[in-house]
Amino acid sequence: MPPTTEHRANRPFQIAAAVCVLFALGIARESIRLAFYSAAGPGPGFFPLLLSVAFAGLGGTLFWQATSGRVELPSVDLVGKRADYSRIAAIMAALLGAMLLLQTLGFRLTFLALYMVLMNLSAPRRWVRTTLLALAGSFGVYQVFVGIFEIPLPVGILGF
Amino acid sequence: METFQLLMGGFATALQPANLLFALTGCIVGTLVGILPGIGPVVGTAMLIPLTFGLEPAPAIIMLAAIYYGAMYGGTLTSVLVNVPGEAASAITCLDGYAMAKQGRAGPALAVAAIGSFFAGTVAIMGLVLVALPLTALALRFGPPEFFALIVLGLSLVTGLAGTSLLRALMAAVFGLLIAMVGIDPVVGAPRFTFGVTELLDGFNVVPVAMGLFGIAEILVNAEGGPAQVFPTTFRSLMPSVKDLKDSAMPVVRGTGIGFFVGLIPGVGAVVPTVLSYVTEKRVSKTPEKFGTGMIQGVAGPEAANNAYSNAALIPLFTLGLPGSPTVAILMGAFMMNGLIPGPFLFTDHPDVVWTVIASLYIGNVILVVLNLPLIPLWVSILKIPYSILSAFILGFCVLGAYTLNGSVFDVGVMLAFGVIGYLLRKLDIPAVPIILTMILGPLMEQALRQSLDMSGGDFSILFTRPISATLLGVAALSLVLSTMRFFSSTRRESEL
Repeated sequence: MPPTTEHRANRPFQIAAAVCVLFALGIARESIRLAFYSAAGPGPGFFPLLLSVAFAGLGGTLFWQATSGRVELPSVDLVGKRADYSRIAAIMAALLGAMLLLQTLGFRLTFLALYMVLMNLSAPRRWVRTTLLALAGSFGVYQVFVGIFEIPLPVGILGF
Repeated sequence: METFQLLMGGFATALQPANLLFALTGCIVGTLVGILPGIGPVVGTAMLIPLTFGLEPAPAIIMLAAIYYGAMYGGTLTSVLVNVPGEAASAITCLDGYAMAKQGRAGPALAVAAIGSFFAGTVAIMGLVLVALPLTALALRFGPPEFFALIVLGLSLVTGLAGTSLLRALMAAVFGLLIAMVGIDPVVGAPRFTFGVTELLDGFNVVPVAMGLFGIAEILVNAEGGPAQVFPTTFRSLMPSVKDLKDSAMPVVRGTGIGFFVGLIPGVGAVVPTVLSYVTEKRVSKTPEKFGTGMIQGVAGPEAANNAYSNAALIPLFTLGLPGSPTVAILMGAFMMNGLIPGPFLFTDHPDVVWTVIASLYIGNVILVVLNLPLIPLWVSILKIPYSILSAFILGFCVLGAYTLNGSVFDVGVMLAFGVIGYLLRKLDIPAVPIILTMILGPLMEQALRQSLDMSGGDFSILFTRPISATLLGVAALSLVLSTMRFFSSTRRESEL
């Protein structure tokens, strides 16, 4: 039998619930390695184990709700808007790239590139405005943080 | 009568032009620093201590106290305008403050926050003058069992933060508690869930987590559907209407009471009174379902609670030498650098300085509200910047803020990871605030329980045999049962309609 619209809407909740249960089981497995109780009371593993059991229970309940359809869940559309997800992925990739390059390239060059990419993602082809703003957000902010407040920001291999 | 005379003497000194100038400078610099990413009141106050080198003790403390106030208001600005809390205590303001900004009502939100904070600060300073000593004696009766019970009461509030689903609010709360378990165990010092990563030994810092869950997630959600204008280009009003002020009056009063009492207990932190105030407003409201959609009560109460807490936290510092919060600890350091040892002898050994500082706290409050109300149009004009530019700068400032916390890209990674988690939570309609609340309270609760059991030799009855802790636990249980019943009855009513 093909899945109904309602089943498709609840699938994200089923997936989320399953991830929560797996996460809880992983935590429980690690917790068991820590001391659960001692003469002075609960050990380091006491709280995490109880919490992981509770989290698994809550995740299981959510899975049951999503599967049985007894409780109305909000409709979540996780597929079908590929352009949106491409944009989100591009933003995250830019941020991740900035994080990885920050120490190597230094604050000024990394943030110059980051702002150029981010602003072009949402308003492409405005090169003059984008460049000026990116310069202010990178070289200008560096001057404020390092020059005025004396907060150290990374300087990369090129001296920026 | 003697107290009144001493206070008047303090005002006479604090109102000298030079001291007023220090207070004004402190408020301006503090607000600017509070707006900058990653620099909350703690870092801002610590960072600007060198500005006071070379000053006499009184002007030095006056300026630092003004910086403290200004930085807190700066955190409110970023919470309301761009959904990025400068510190954990401002996270709750994001809920309705940012929703108001999206409706073109950022001005009223900021004005009510400033006015509410002014009222709360005024009441708290009056409390500092009149009832500091007896209230501090009561607060000192809080040992680990009472502290544990108070935190359990705080955690029971999670049910009040549930939006459409109690189950999902509880899941968020337990997730926050699990996140809080990462790092060195608070009692025996064993590493937990660190997986050999050195940076995890200190656990997750709340600020990058909050920045991710609120700031980054917001941008990702807005990225769906193309580069649209998120904020209205015209703002309905920059100042609150009479109705706004009327709606905010009681939340401000209640928030002030909550913040003041919690501020007397050292170590609780500013998150508890703000959440307590928010949940209280939601519970007393006739339209609790509208909270989170731009209710002015959701801004007025927590902001008042935050400011009342900040002032009341100075009471244990002045009377007992106990810093009630990280920022107050920084102020304590500044006191000591100026040869003033906070504690019972401060009022007798240096009455002139102490009463000048107390008077200047009030003056700082006045300056902040006088300074910021006319500046609201300027702050709100930030939202007129095209969203394509604003969102890029919010993201950049989030990265910068997370990095400057510890000078580490690890915190940036944490923020990005929680940004994705926050985005998924938004899609699944799971509230993020319980995660922040339990993440902060979890380690405190664990430590208090384990210390309590250490005191009793592992006997849990210590929690129920001491009057204050038994009462607090009883209130927590009652609150949990009542709110759960209320939640299920309202859900049933909705499904019947």
